[in-house]
Amino acid sequence: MKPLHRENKGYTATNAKLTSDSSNCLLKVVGLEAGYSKNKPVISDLSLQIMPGEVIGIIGPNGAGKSTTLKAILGLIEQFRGEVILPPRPSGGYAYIPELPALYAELTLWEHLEVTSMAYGMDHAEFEQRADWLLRHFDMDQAKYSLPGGFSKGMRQKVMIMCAYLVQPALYLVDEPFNGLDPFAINELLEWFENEKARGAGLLLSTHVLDIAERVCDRLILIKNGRQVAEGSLQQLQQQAGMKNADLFTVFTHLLRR
Amino acid sequence: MGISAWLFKRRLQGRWRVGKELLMLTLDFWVALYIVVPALILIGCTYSEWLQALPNWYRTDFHGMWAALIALLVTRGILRTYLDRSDLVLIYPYRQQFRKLMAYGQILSTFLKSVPLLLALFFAYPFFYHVQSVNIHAWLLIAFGILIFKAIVLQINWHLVQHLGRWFFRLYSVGMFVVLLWGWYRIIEPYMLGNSTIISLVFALVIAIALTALINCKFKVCDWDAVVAEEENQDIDKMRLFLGNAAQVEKQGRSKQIHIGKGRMGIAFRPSRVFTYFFVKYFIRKKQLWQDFGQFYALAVVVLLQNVPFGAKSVFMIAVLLGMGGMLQLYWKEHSQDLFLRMLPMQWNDIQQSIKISFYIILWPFCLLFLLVLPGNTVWWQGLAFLPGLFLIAGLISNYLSLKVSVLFNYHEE
Repeated sequence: MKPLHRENKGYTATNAKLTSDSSNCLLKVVGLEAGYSKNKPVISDLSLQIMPGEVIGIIGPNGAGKSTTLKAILGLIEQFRGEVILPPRPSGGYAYIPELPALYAELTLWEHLEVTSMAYGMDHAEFEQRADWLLRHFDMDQAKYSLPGGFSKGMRQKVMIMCAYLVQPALYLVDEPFNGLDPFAINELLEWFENEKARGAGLLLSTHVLDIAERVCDRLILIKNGRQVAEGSLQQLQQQAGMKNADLFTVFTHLLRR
Repeated sequence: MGISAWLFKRRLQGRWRVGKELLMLTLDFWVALYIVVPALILIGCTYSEWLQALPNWYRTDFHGMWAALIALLVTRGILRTYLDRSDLVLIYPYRQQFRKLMAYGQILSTFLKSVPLLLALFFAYPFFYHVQSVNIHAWLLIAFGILIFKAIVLQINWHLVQHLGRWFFRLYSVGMFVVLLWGWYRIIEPYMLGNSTIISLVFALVIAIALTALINCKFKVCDWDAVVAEEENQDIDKMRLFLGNAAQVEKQGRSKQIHIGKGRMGIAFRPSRVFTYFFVKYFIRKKQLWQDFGQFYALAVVVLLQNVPFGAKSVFMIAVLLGMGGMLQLYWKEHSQDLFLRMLPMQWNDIQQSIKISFYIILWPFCLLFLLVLPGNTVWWQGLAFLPGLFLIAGLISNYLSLKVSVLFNYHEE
């Protein structure tokens, strides 16, 4: 299969390959093989697709390749084989929220939002209006001109979410979003997921917090050693495991040990 | 201004502030007056003398060293991108902006990494002028060509270091050094001597550019996370004295805008090193200390050069080390109150460590004087064998006395 280099060109050339069912999908990954060395790919033969308003969770044990999968989709590591189609910018584009919030030490919160809007080519008046609303909504107006050095983990995560939300992308790729957050912050994050889902955005979460994944994800992809072990809704996974009404934790451990 | 240019400008401003802060930490009025300004005048005068005539100490045998030095300076160094982890999150999806941002960093890095080479070419000119009668125009042309080579090698190194293992990269560096040295003697030197035209130099440049394009194509970046991590490592390496920017100091100005405090630029300094620097700077201004220790050093030179039995010289050195240690301890006691007030708040461990280093700075160079025993001495090996012992004794004296001195600074921390 011809490797696709990440140019975010969207659906133009490859659109013809999509089936009628997946013609409006936000993310399409087919037979992805990626890693740090061609001899030892970290992920192999991974396929998935996300439809508008769908939340997909990539779950797996530590070192299974969850974060690497996201990096490969984003093009941060080399793709050896397979195909990845991300939404193009005119259709909303995509935003990535990493596990550890990555902020510029020398830029204030407002400047972070400004950078995002400039990169996206957003109109300045629209940016100011939306950024002000975001600051109020996320209760961050006090920190508008603060540098991120003194921010707590929750605040830093909020800045990442605000930057992503500012451009209202069609697809979010979120890596371990619940790590290090208190229950209130997790609750806020879940509410935000719900709102974005209602807006029609797609979300790809990588997590190992199974009880929350069970609550928010429409479909789950279980990976182990970089390979897809199972895929589907909780009910489908229960069927695959032959464990009716079992919770995700029980299904997860059963499927991984199999 | 585009987003990438704006972001890069802010990044440079941040780095410039840190650099300025570091410069101000090490360079004050007195250091500038006594060290930097005289050094610059000395360098200027020496250079103009070299332009007039070759220095007496220079022999034509040394001339090959310039080629080796220039080849080494061209080979060494890996291009930097000055990318930040945040760039991968916020800018990377906008590929054109990301590429521009990286290109700005690489251009800056090319200039900065070429500075040592530029200095070497500058200082080499008088020697080539006198030995090989190279005129300034030819030299400028050669220097320009070499700087282009440097930029090309930096690019190649950056691509290869991401794909080759450490040992393979070292092997490649050695190979590159040999090729450059060969290029010097086969292409540059014949041109300097008028035995070949500039075409060979241009041809070599074209081949190098084609090679870079090929390597760019074949060795693409396969892990951007690793690139950013390498950038962080380079910063850490560069600022080994410091711990990073975790302790960001923020201040609120009149405009109610919060900015980085000017005092420490958000850098947490490693305290023991800062204290050492402070102590050295403090004592270096004490004239009495120079006189007292200078006398000991002068006395040792006289004694070691006299026809005195080896055993007596050894005992003398140990005795003087003890005496100097004791004197330094007295200095510390005398100035402890003054120093103490300037250093609060502090950790006792940091103080203890830095006091120990200040003892080493005084006592270890004194041990080196024992090398004067060696020339013309039939039992020179005795002197060489005794030298490590002398260093050990100086170390032990420093450790013991610094512990005694640091007790003066031990206060109960609440």
